[in-house]
Amino acid sequence: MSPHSDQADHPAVNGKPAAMVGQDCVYELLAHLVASAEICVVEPHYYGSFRLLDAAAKLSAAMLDCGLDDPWLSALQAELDRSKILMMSDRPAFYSYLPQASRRVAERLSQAAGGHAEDMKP
Amino acid sequence: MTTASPGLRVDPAELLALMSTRRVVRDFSQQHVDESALWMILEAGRWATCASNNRVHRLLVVRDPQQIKLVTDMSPGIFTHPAVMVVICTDLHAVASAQLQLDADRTIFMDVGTLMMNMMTQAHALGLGTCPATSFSQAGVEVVLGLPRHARPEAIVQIGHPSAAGTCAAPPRTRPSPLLAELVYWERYGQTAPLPPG
Repeated sequence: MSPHSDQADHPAVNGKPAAMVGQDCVYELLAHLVASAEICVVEPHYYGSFRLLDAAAKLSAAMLDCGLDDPWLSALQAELDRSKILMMSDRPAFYSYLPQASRRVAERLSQAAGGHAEDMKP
Repeated sequence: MTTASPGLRVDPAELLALMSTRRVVRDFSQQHVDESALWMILEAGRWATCASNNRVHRLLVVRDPQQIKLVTDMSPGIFTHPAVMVVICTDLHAVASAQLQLDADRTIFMDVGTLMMNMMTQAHALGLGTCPATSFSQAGVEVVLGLPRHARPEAIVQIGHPSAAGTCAAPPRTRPSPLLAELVYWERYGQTAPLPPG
């Protein structure tokens, strides 16, 4: 069964919109994740958050590189790349960014689910 | 300014300026690194101070782009693909020959540091950027580089020309900084001294 819908530029899986990611990108991300799992046990604890943000940026970049037209994701990827390096220069700002990133993604999930993310803000 | 050793024409202030202007480069161009420059960097590593002159480390030079990509894939601490990687490996045969205790003898790791520092300083003098990395999967790098079991990768020095956005130099500093005064104690631990005038 084809993973694509009738419209070639709008891939779908089980009838839902899908983001395409090249196989190479998947393996690169896999390598990043397992290597991070290995080195995080000897690195300072905040490196764990850094590695995960870096992985999130890589995943975003992979989806965009494969043709996904999503301005929100593009902005998030730029924000992740910009904010992750705060870990080295401004750790309090880095810590402050972590819940911001979660909030941004949660808002997107809520919107995709048909909710009103703005209304759900505390 | 006088020179430190007879026969050498190295200005001490210029040497300090060289060391204090080096910065880590994390974004490299793909521009070729001249082989003579690379040999000079490796030679600088050879002259690094080394505990008991044991020489238990070996330098693996990697220039093949595919190999560099694979090492980068297994190295979350490496963000771009440099033109050259020098993988500093502890040779376990040499360790055994020198009768060192592998994970107890701190000089093994200190010597990795002196090696890296000499190479990075020499590269900076040649106008090249460098970045040291230890944030990689040792097991993963062993596999992708096909290292023998007696070679343990300890650190990777990335070498290359900085990208247009990158930089490998900072303004020179030839006199002690306020930070140095905080880092240095005199005669008793915790006892600082004021900076010299000027």
